[in-house]
Order: sequence, then structure tokens, then C-alpha cells
Amino acid sequence: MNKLKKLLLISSALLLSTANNTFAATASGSITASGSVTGTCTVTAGAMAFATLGTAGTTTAASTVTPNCTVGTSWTVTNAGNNNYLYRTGASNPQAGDADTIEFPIKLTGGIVAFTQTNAATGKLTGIGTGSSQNATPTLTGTAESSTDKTAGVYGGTVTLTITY
Amino acid sequence: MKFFSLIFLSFIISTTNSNAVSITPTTVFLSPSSKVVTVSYTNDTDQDINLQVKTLIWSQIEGKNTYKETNELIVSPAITKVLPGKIQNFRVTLRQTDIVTTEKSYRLIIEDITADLPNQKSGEVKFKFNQDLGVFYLPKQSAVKDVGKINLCKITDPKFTCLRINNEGEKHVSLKNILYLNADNKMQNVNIFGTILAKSFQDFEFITPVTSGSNKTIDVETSFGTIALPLKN
Repeated sequence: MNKLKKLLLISSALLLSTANNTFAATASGSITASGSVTGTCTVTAGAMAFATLGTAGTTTAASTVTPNCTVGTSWTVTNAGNNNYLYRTGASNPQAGDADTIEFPIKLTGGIVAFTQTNAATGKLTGIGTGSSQNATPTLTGTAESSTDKTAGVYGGTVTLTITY
Repeated sequence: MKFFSLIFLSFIISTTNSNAVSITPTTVFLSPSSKVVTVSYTNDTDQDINLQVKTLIWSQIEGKNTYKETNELIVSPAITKVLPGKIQNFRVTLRQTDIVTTEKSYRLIIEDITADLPNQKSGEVKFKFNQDLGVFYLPKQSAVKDVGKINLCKITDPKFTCLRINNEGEKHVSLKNILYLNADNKMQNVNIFGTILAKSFQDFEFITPVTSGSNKTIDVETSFGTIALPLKN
């Protein structure tokens, strides 16, 4: 009995599939597909490392900003501030001009263009995304003032950049 | 086998210590059919990042960008901490969708307000990034075409060329790039771009490119097409 049921099921399935083939009309059409590519950007910057903060004179260090943006996404990197400082670790409330603070103005490497917020119209890095990492040119050069009259210790700093799309 | 494991391990370490932050999308488009948009911020650094959001109305008056703080745009959360390797989603919407015909434009600024890092190596400076994104609300459901006109504008310094893009349309248009054939007959890129808001104009100044002998034109790539424009002289 079970065998008969199975046979009936198989035959009806076969019949259905055949029937579908027999009566299927050939139809063609098009599916409208649309979408948009969302711009994505990843940005990083190498640390600006002043090897030795000497008393003999100024010390320079460079850094490269590296955006990686979707193809066609334009980007501009500017300095969010006007003054950049290294502060002595452990100093309480270090302030510009005091013995625990070393100023390091940043310029676009190879030129005289100041990389500051007020000079953002010309002191900026720009580019258009290529889908891979781009080393922004020019690079950034910081020039730390002489450490004469500064307290001995470990100095470090942070610079905030703005990336505008 | 050990050698390959080491290579794989070092690859993972280099990937996770990329010290980068990411944002997607880089421009936010709101509309009656897309009232809320999510912006994702990824912290791929090895430090916690504290973020604070600021919103501005963006307009262009007589060719100058102007910004004014606003609460028309709602972004949630307004302040947050993103742990290393984590993603923070921001939901962006308008408080009220006015019955307007022209596109409204804003800037969304995600500021990194993390206190200065406990210092690393002596003499080392690290970088933080604020993200500054355009936000547009186009009230019309139907597609609105980009419309613009390009003209050369007056400039006193002959070394420079000035291009004025006048947007007469109801949504912003983009200057995507300017291309020209250099003296060696190779396509060069002026690397200049910008956004011209609805019913506004913008001037773009750049050093006049040295084009190839016979070809004294530049190709201006915009969102409303590429236009070949003859250079002066």
C-alpha cells in the first residue's frame, strides 16, 4: 500500500513538472536594479616624532596623513587649531609659554604655508578618493622650539585635524 | 607552518593596530522617503575615543560658506565613547520637515574630544580626527536634476584662473575635478573640487594650467556633466 502511495506521489510530481514544461510560455523581461555607492573614508596619520628636543635650536619632525576613501569622494584635511604644543608628562596645568610647554608650529612640508585653522584656505591637504590608501601630499612638518629654559622630562602632544567631505 | 602562522599573526596585529578611524557615509541624504539615516563611526585605534556631535546650517551667501549652529538636525547620540575596535552608529534626522521646495543643507561635525593621550614616547605627537560631513534634505520626492552654469570670473593675478559655478537649481551640485592636457599631452588633474548649494554660486581659483600647444581648454567635471571650457588668452 505504501509502495503504491509513493508511486502515485512520484507520478503526480512528474506529471506536474511535465505539465509545467508543456504549458510554460516563454517570457522575458527586465528587472530594474538601482543602487548607490556609499562614500566611506578611513583616515590615519603617522605620529610626528621629535627625536631629541635640544637646547641648541629648533627640532623638526614630519608626519603623513593617509586617507583611504571610496573612489570619487573628495576630502580636505585641515588643522582644527592654531597653536600646537608638547606638554611635559606629569606637569600640573601646563600653559603656553611656561617651562612645561614646547610649541611646535606646523607647516606644509617644503614650503612656508602655515598649517593652521586660520590659514585653512591655503594650509590644507586635499584629494579625491581612489579606493585605496593615499599618502596626502605635502606631508606635515612640525618645528619644535628650543628646549632652553624648559623643565627636563618626557614631552608629548596631540594635534586635532578635521577631515571635511 | 610556524613561519606562516607568524606572518598571519603579524598581519592581524598590523591590521588591528592601524590606528585609523572610519566614517560611512561621508555625505548624508535625507528625504521624505528616507527620514532617518545612520552614520557609522569605526574606532580602529587602540584607545577609547570620546565623541561629541555639532550641527550647523550651511549656506552660501555671495559665494562665501556660512555656518550657524542649529537644532533643526537631530543626531543621536550627541555624546558617546567608542571603545577600540568598536563601531558607533549615529542616527540623523530632521526635527521638522518643512514644506519647502529647495534643498536644505547642513554640516554634521563629529568632534574627537578625547583628553590628550597619556603620553607615549618622549617627543611624540599623535593625531586625532574630527569628521565634517555634509547633510542634505531634499523635500521633493521626484528626482530633481542638477542644473548649473560655468563661467570664467575676473581675477587680477594672471597666473590664476577663476571659475564661477552658478547653481540655479533646487539641489546642490558638485565640482568633481578639473582636467587638462599638459604640455606632454598627458591628462592632468587640477585637484580642485567643491559643493555649490541650491540657488548659490561659488568661485574656484587655481593656477592656470599649462596646456598642450593647440589645446587651450579645460574639462570641468561636475555633477551636471563635463564641460569643456576655453582658457583665457
